[in-house]
Amino acid sequence: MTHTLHRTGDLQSIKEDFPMLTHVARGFNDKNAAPRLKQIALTMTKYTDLHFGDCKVGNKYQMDPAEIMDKLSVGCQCVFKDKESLIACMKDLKEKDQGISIVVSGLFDEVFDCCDKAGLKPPLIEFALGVHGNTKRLWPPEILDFVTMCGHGLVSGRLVKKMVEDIKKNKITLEKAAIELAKPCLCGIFNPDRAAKLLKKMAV
Amino acid sequence: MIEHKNTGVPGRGTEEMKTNEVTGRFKRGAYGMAVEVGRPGVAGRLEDLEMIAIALAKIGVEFEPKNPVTFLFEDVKTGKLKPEVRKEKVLSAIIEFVVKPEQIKPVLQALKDISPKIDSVFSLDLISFPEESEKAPALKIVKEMGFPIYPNGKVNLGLGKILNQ
Repeated sequence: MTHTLHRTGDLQSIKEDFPMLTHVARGFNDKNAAPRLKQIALTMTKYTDLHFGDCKVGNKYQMDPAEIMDKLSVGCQCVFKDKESLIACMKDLKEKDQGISIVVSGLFDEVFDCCDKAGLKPPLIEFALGVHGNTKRLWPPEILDFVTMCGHGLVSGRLVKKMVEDIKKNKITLEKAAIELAKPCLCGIFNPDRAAKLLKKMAV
Repeated sequence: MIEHKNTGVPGRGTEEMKTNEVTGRFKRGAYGMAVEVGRPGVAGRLEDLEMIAIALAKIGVEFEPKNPVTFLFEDVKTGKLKPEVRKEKVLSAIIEFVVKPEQIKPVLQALKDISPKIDSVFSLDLISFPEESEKAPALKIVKEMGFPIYPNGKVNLGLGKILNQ
């Protein structure tokens, strides 16, 4: 389950993209974890409203976030677009001390800077070492930047192409198209703010 | 998304590095690696995964026992899958394993060798402790072997604790 890894894009674009997840450790802190997860979810969503969800339950574009929070049992996800909100959230999570693991993805330099400012010392990191095999079958880079924002592969490259076409035909706005792309990402890590900017480059 | 009955995790994988400050799954002096067949956005047959798993098994890597794919092996020591699942198509499936420092180079060489034989694609992951003394030796080999290292990745914040009574 490495679904927040392998996001592609240019540095400026990745700089505005920080998925965050929380996950219980089976056998260690999973008993009666629901209220702790809810508290973490409330803290996350206090600092970002871009996306939020849990792959077992659904995401904020499919159902009421309050309903999602009441059903959390394993973990949840959200995404940030700026360091200031991320640092504030990290500080708050540290202070609330719910005892459930939190992971943030993004540019290592940026995330470590945020951790430093929040007084956190990360114990483990994960690197992405590229895509291999029959890479001729990959979507072109400009589509891949959307597809890789959902590590479970639920955001189709075909849907991205359709959204670009619909924007060009004035059938949908950039912002609404970005939300349409965020909907299939059950976990809530697809970044609609970044998606709108990428769509603008392709369609306008 | 359904929670796997053996792993307790919804999705394709495990808790891997996400909860390591609590579980201690990955130890200093070793590295976690993962090969994600079908990702990103291509999907793939499990027979592709089997080819990779057999190549890795020959090096003697330790497959993650709680990964959903491990339950599909006919023989976890050889990486051979149960025949009835080989043709199954998946959005993606992950082989997770632990490597000793001396296994990194043979693993990367095996992946390089098998790469042209794969019909789908695979994404590659490396888990390490963040200190230079831990990550630098592995990243040096990765670079020498010509594999890219993305500037973005995952960072565990270390906020987990043991709470179960």
